[in-house]
Amino acid sequence: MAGDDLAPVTIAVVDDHPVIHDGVRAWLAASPARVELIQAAGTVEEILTGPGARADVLVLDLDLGETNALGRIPELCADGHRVVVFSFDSDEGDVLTALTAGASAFLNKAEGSAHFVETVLAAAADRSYVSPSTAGAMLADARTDRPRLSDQERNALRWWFQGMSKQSVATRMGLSVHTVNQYISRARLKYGRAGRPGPTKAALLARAIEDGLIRADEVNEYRSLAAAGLDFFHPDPLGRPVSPSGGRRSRFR
Amino acid sequence: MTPVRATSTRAPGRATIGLTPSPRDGRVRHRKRARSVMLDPPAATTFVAAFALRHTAARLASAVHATVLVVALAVGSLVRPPDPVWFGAAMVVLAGWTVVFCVVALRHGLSSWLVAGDTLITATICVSLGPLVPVGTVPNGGGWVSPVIASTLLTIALTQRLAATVGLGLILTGCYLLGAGLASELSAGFGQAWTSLIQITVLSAVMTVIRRAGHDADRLFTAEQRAGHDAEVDRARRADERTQLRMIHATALATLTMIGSGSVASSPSRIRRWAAADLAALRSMSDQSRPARERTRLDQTLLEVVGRHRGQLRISYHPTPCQAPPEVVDALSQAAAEAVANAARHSGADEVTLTLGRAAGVITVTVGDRGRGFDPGPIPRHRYGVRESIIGAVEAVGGAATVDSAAGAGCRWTLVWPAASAPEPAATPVVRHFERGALIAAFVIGGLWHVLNDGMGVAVHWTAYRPPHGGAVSAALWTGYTVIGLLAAARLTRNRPAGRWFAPVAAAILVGGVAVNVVICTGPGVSTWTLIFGNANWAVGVSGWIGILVLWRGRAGGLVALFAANLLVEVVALQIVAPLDRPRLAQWIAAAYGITMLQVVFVVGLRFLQRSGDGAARAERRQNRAHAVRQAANAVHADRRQRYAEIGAAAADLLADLAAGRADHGDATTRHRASVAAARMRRLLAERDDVTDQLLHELRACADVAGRRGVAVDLVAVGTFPPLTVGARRELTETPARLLATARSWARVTVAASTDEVSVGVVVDGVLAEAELAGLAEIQVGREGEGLWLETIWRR
Repeated sequence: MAGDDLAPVTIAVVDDHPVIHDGVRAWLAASPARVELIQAAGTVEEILTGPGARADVLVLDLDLGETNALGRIPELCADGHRVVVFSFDSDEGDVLTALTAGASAFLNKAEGSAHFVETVLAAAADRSYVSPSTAGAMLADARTDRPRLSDQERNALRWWFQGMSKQSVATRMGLSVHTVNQYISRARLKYGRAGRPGPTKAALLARAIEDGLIRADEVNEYRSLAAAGLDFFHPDPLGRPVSPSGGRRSRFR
Repeated sequence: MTPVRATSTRAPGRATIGLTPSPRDGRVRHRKRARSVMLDPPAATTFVAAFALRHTAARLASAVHATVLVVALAVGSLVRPPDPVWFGAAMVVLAGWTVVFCVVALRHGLSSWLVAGDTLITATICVSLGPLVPVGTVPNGGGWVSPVIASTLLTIALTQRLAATVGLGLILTGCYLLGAGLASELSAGFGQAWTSLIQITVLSAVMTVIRRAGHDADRLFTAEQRAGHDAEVDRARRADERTQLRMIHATALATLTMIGSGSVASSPSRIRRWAAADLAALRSMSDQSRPARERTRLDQTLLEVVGRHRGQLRISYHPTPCQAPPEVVDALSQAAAEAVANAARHSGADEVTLTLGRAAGVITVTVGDRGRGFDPGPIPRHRYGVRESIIGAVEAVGGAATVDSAAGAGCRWTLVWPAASAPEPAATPVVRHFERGALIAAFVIGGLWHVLNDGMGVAVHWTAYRPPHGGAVSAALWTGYTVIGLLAAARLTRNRPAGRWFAPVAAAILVGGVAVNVVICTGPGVSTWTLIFGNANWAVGVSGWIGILVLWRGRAGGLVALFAANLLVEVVALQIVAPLDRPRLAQWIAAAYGITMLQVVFVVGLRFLQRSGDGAARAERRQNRAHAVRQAANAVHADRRQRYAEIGAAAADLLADLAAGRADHGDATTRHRASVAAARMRRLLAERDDVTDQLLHELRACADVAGRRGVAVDLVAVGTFPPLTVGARRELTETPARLLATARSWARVTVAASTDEVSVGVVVDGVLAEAELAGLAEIQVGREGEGLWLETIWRR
């Protein structure tokens, strides 16, 4: 676990409900992993100008008063923040938009008590953690340019989405938990390829290659994409903006 | 009422939650579209068909003008004009004007000054007939002048109203007679005058029918636009309101979820403060929505109607508690109020009975009196408005209103909502209406032409035809044509397809008749050319008109072939009995042009008519469909509002207990209450579909049942549902529902849908008896931790 390294993992939480800050503190306190909440605030600006700007992981609620923070994700990721989206609303459109925009993970608040710590630890280590709600969104993706998932990947995602434990999924598939995790992570990586490249995506890819998640014949495809992301502005083939308000502003233009 | 609603989205008491735009919802693009539509309500009337007509008219007039120029140059060069200088000048002017006319018409349409200029130039040509055409051609429209007149008449008819068309047409005819008079050939001018009068009549009739059909089509298009706009407005209103409701519930949801999962470590005082704040937000919502909820109670709104007549009229009111979408309540209460007021004014009865019933989802309102009554057949003028407004108001929201009355037997109105849906007719009334109009036009034109022009030709030239039996042959031919025309019309009105033999045989007779007519025009008494170019040779003209009736349902190519065959047969027959010299050929070209042009114009007009009729019919169908969807969506929405209020109230109880310190957030019972309330709220917040999918609807109902037993049911659905058969849906939901019923305190129900696959998964903390487990074995019930797991899958 990355949290067992020398320094604790640091997180900052953007959420306008104080009860959520409270809940996050409770989850962190109950976990043996070393994760430290260094700032909790109601707006992104407070975090960016405060100590939270240096946090390893930025936990972002989408419903911030009158505004939707979905549009902030590309800019935050472009600035090198690892964003974990934390919302009550796991509408598949929002989940996929967040992942395409570069968010490390998407977590429904109702899943928080069970998956929060694991999600932020994975994000801090540039690994992706797929929550059940994210698995559901990936399964239901009906976009024409959606990544193609293998049958095994789809089965793993479906059972994980339904609420099975990883152990049960593994038993049902006749595999080890490790292999199930690999299937799910590989499916998630395919979503990292979609949309505009960025530093968090490149880091995710680098870690995936390091972890041996990607097959040899796929490495070139991923690598060239990651390299392209640091040099060129790579527009979405469908011409859609990555987010409603994020527009096409990019540091990589 | 519909137009008002189209622009007034803030009608008092309806959208009480307000329309604050909020970018909260992820579907920002969708919202923007809805909003921009809201800002641009449709114009009062849309002129789709009128625009298409103008467009067609400009192209048609330009084409006719261009061909007329070619014909005039051809004919003019074949005959020797009396004054070549005048003729040359006239040709230059005509060519120049034709170019100007076509360019302007195609670019900007047929403007009034273009029509005026065209009329002026043609009138000038008519008046200066003497120097332009040889004397002998004056009876037949001076060879090339006749097509020029015809093209101008067409331009006038396409652009002007009936009176102006007839007036300007008569002026042009007068000008021609004046020109003939100046050339001392006044009596010879009457032939062309007659042709012009027939053309004016035909064109006026066709254009009247086309305009009326176009007007109907426009009315339908406008209504469709308005229905679509209303639906957009409704959708935007619902989306905004949903966003507002979700925002209000979000704060309470956060608190309840955290308490439910035991994740709150704060001091009891902070929890009390949060609970109090959440409670205030929820209460503000229920305050806001109260007037809206009252409006949806039809029994209460009708009570107001009763109250309005207190003291003047005894109303015995028999209500049933009844809710309906606000616009339905508005429409039904407005209609009932009208019916009551009408009874008070006209019936003479001192008591009116008002009932409100609801059975199997159908609302029925009756208003009855035992007064004078009336015969519902012929309605007095002053009552027509009342009746229309009652029926119109109810029909506008998808209901039906009927009145049952007889003189002396009282009057009883029955208002029903929703109306029983009638099966869609094979051909909509609009199409039938358009088809009938076009049919009548074709029949009137053919009939008028045949009786006036041809009948007179037969009668006047009876003795001039080729002896011994030329007159009789012509009369027999005329009768034969009449029979074919009537047969064709009869088959069309009875809407029976003609036999396979009918069209070809009739067409052969029509074309053969043309040759026969030419042959009998070679009598000894009168010049053959006078007969050939007069109405003694009538068959070639009417053959096309009757042919239109005969080949009505066939392809356009058949008609074109018939027109061509008529001309070809005539010119070949002429070549045999009386070879054409150059001036005669010129004359024939001009005459053939005059005949064919009108027929082609009619066929083109007909195609336009059918197209706009089709378009109007499709618009009508779309409108009905949009209306049905809108009603369904509004009903779902009203229902959802109700549940928001209920769930808000349930959550409010718990929050009130927490705020007052009566409940402890660490207590297991409180945590479970919070879990159940939060799960319920999450299920509702996840609903965003306007018209609920049936599968999801069933699962939600099961989840609600379990929720009422105190089970916290998370229901997560992703993806877009493909259409499923009832059987497939039952297989997907039946066993999940059984497993859900065994849940003790929590359950997770998931639905993942894509175009090829729908899966339903259930995880519960329940335990199945061994026997039950055996019954479910084939569907793979698995143990999942302490509980059970099950999934059903449908694959395409």
